[in-house]
Amino acid sequence: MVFVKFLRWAASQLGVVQLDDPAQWLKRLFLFPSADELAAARLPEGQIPNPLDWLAEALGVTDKRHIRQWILRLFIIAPGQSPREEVSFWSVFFRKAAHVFGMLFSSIGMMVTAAMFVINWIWQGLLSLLPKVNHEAVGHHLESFLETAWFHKPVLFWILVISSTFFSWLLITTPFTWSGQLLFAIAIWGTAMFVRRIPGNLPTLILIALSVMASCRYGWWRVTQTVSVNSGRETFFAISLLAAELYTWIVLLLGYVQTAWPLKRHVLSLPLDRLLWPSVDVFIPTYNEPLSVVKPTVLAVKGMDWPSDKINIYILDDGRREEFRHFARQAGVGYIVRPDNHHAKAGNLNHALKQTYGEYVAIFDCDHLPTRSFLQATMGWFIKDKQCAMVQTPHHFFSPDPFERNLGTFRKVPSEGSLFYGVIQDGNDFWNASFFCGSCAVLRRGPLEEVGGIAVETVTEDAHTALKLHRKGYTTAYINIPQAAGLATESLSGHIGQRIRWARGMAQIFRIDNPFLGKGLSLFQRICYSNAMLHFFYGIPRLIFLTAPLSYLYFQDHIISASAVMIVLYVLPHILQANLANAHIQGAYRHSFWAEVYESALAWYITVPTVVAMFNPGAGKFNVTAKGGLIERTYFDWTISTPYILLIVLNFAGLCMGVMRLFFWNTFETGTVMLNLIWTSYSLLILGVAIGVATETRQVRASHRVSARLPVALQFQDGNSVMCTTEDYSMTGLGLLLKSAQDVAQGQPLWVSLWLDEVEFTFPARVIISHGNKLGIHFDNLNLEQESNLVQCTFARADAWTDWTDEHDADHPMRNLKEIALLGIKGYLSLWRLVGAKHKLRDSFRRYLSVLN
Amino acid sequence: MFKIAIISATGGAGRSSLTANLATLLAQRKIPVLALEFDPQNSLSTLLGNEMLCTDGLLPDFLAAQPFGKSALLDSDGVAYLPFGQSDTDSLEKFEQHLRTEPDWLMQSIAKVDFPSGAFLLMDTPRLPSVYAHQAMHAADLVLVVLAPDVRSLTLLPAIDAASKACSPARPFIYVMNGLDSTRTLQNKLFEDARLTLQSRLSPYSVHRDEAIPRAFANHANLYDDSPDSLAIHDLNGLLNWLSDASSLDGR
Repeated sequence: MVFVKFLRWAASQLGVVQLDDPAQWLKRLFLFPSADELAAARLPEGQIPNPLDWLAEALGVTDKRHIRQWILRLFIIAPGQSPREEVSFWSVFFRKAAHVFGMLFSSIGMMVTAAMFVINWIWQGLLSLLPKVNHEAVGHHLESFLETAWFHKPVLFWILVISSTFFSWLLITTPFTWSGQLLFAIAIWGTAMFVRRIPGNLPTLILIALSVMASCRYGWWRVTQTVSVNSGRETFFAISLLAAELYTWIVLLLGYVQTAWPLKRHVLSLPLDRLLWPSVDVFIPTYNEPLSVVKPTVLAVKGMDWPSDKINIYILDDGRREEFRHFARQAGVGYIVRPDNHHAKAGNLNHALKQTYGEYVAIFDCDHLPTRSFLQATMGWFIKDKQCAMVQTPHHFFSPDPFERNLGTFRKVPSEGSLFYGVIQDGNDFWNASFFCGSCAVLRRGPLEEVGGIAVETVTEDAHTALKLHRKGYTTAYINIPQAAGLATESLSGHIGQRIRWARGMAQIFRIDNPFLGKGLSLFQRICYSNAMLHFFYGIPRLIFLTAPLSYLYFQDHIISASAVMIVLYVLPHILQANLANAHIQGAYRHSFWAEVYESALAWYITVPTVVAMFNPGAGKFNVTAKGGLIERTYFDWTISTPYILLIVLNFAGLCMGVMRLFFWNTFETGTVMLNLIWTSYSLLILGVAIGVATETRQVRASHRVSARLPVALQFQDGNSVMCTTEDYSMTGLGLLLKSAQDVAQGQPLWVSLWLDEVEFTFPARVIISHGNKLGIHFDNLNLEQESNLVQCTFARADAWTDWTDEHDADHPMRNLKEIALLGIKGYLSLWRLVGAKHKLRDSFRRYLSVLN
Repeated sequence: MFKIAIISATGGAGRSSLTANLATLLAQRKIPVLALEFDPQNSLSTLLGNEMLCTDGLLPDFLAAQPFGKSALLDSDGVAYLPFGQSDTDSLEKFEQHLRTEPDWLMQSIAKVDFPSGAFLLMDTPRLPSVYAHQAMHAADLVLVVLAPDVRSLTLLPAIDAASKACSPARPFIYVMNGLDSTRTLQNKLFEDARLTLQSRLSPYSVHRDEAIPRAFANHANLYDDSPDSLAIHDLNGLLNWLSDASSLDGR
C-alpha cells in the first residue's frame, strides 16, 4: 500500500501519466517534462500523496514545519499514541516468545543453509580434483574377476578367508588414538562413497563388510574400554545402554545376512493346457467386518482368471450373519460357519480345510482384493517346484496407515510395511525362509495338513505355520509383485493393536518353538526367522535410547566412560556406515531415519506384550484389527500418547538442565554436555513426530479412493458424450478430469463407461460435484453384476498396483532428517493447538493468574 | 494407396456417415484421402459439408465419356471426394448394364487415377446385394463391413460371408459396429455375440451412438472441431488406428 502511494507521489513529481509504462518512467528520469505534461500528471490538490505526511502521522508530529517536534517525536511517543488497550501479560508474553523463537529458528535455518551452500561448494571443488571413475566399468571388472577360474581354487579361497579374518580381527580390536580413529573413519567412509556408485549386487556386500567392520570396532571398543562401574546407579544405566546397543548390533548383523541378496523371483508361466491346472479353494475368513468391506473382495476373487471348474470360493463367517449367507448365495460362492470361534482366524481356516478338498488353498483377508492375475502369477512355482508348500505375495495398501495419514506422507515416504515386503521377504526368499503372512498367499494342501493345518499355538499363526513347513523340509516362495491390495488400519490405536499382536505372537514363537533350536532348519533359515522375531523386541532398547542422555543431564552419570571426541569418532562411522549400507539395500523401501520414527512411536506399546509373552507365552488374547472405519473429526488420542508426553516432559527437562550445565554447571566438559544435548534434542524431535502421529487427522471419505488414470466415457441423457480420465476411483464413485472446463448440472443422471482390456462396461451414475474441469460422480444403485464389473475394471486390474512404488520420492538422508525435524516441530505445534482448543491448559493458567492477583 | 470398400447388408447402418467421418479424420491427420461415392443415392457431399447435391459426378462423366475422377472436389477439411452425380432411371439402367458386363470397370478406372503414395481410398456403397457394392469389394484391398447393433445385422452375417467367398482373390473382411448404445443391455449383448462370432475380425472400437455426429452433419461442421472430446471422436480415432494396423499387416 505504502509502496503504491509512494509510486503515485513520485509519478506526480516526475510527470509520469501512465503509471504502468516503464518507458515513460525511464524517459522522465532523464528528461524534464514540459509544463503541460506536468499539469496532466499532477493530481488534483489534496490528492497528492506526500511521504512526509505519513511519517508525520506515524510519529505523531502535528506541525510538519517544526524541526524540533520531529526530533522530539523520534524519541518520545506522542500522548495518546501509545497502545493503551488492555492486553493480558501472558498473551503478549507468548506472542513475543513465539515471535522470538520463530526468528531464532528461521535465522538458524538461514545460517545452516548458507553454511551448507559454502560446504557444498568447497566439496564440489575438491571432488572435481579427483580423477573421473567409470563405476560401470569397475563393476564389470569386479564381477569378471570373481568369475575367473583361478579365483575358484579352494586353496586361494581358504587363504583369503583366513587372511581377511585375521586382518579384520586386527582392525576391529586395535585401539587407536583419536587421530588414528579419525583416519580410519575417513578411509572407510571414502571407500563406501566410492563403492556405492558401482552397479550390481557385489557393492552391497562390500558396503555390508565395511559397515560390519565399523560396527564391530565400535562394539569392541564399547565393551572393552567404556563401561564405567563407579556407582550402582551409573553401572545400571551403563549396562542397560550397552545391552540396548548390543541388541541393535545383533539385529543389524542378522539383518545384513537376511537382506544381503534379495532374490527377486520372477513369475513362472503355467502349462498351456488348462486341463493341467490344479484345483484351488479360496478362503475369505471374516469375523466382524461389514459386508461393504467383504463384498468387493468376494467379487474380485470371483473375477480371478482360473478355470471355473477348478476354483471354489468360500466365505468363512465367524460372525454367523444372515446377511452374509444371503450374499454368498446371491454371488454363487460357498459359505461356511462353525459352531464355535476357537482359535479365531486360524481355527476358522482349519475348520474350512476339513470341509473342502482342492489341491491348493488361497487365503485372502476379507479386505484384500486380489487382481485377476493373482493365481496365474503365483501357481507357476508350485508346478515347477514339487516341494514348494507356499507362495506369498506382498500386502499392498491403497489407503494411508495412521503414520501416513497423520503425518501427510502417503505415497511420498515408504510406509512401515514396505521394508518387509520390499526387501526383507525377498531377502528371506534367497535363504528359502520367506514366510506366510496370513493373506494374499497360496498354500499346498498336502503339506499344510501334514503340519496339522494352520498353527494355533500362537497369535501369529501365519509365521508359525511357515516355520513348521520349513522344519518339515518344504520350500516357500515369495513373489514381490503386488497382486492384491487392501485397506490399511484406520486409527493409530488399531495400528498399535495389530503391531502388539504381531510382537506378542513373534515373542510366543521365540519362546515355544525357537527357530534356533529344534530340527529341520538350515543355519540361514534359523537366522532369518530369529531376526524376524528379535526385531519385535525393539521396545525396551528404543526406550533406553530415548532416555539414555538423561542419566547424564540429570545425575551427571557418565554412562559411556570416554571423552566426547572419542565417542563421536567411534560412533559416527558405526552409524554412518550402517546408514550407507542400509540405504543401498533398502533405500527404495525405507528412507533413512524413518525406522527411528516408526519404532519410537510403537516402542512403548510393544514392550509389555513382548516381555509378558517371553515369560508366559499363553497369556493375552487375540484382537481383531478394525478396518473400514471413519474418523469424523480431527482429535488427539490422549490415552495413546500419555507415555510419549511423559517422555517429552522428561527429555525437555533434560534439555533445560543441559543448557544450565552447558553455561554454568559443567563448563569443564562442554563436549560431553553438547553430545548429550544433541542426543536429547534428536529424541525430542522423534518424539514430536510420534505426537504428530497421535493427532488423528479427519478422514473425509467413507470409502477410500485410489488414484489412477483410467479412460472413461460419460454419456449424458441428451445423447451427448465426453471422454475423460479418472483421477481416482472407489466402490462408490469416481473423481474425473475433463480435458476442458465444462458446465455440468449437478445431480443429473448419466452413464459412465469403463474398459477392461477392450470390453466396455457401463454404469449408471449421478453428478455429485462439478468444478471447472473436475467432476465427481457417484454410482447409482449398482446391482451385483455391475458391482462385479466395477471391481474388475478398477481394483482387480492385473496392473492396478504395479507402478505404485515408483511414486515414492528417492531416499535423501539429509533431506529426510530435515523433513523429520519439521514433522517433529509440527507435532508439537498440533499438540499445542489441541491443548489450546481444549482450554485445559489455558484455563488453568487463568486460574493461576487470578489467584496471584 | 490403400483401398477400402465400406459395405453392409442392412440399410441405415451408417455407411455414408462413417465414410465421411473417417475421411475427415484421415485428412485431419494429413493423410491424403479420396472418398468415392459409388452409390446412386448421391448424398455423400452433404455429409462432407456441401449444402447442395452435386449434379456432376462419376455417372455424368461416364455418360459423357469423360475421364474417371474429373468431377472430384476438395472440401475445406482437405478431403477429396468424388460424388456419384445426378442420375435418372435411364442413365442408371445404362450404367448398371455396363457394370454387369464389365465387373472390373471400377478397379480399372481407379487404376487410371494418379494417387499420392500412402493415400486412402474410401468407397461408399449401397446395401448388399448390389452391383455397386460388388464392384467396390472387387476393387478394394480391404472390406469394412458396417454392422448395426440389432438382430437383423447379425442374422445377415452369412450373406456377407457368401459375398466375401465370391471375391477372388480373397481379401480381408473386417467388421465394425456403428451406432452402439452401450447403455442398453441388449445392444451390449449383441455386441458380445458379434465378438464371439467374428473374434478378431470385429473392431474392438465400435462407434457409439453420439449426438455429436448428427449435430455436426446438421451444422455442416467438422466433427473433430465441433466436439473434440466426444466419445464418437475417440471411437473413430481408435477405429482408424486399428484399420491402419490392419492395412499395414496386409503387407501393403
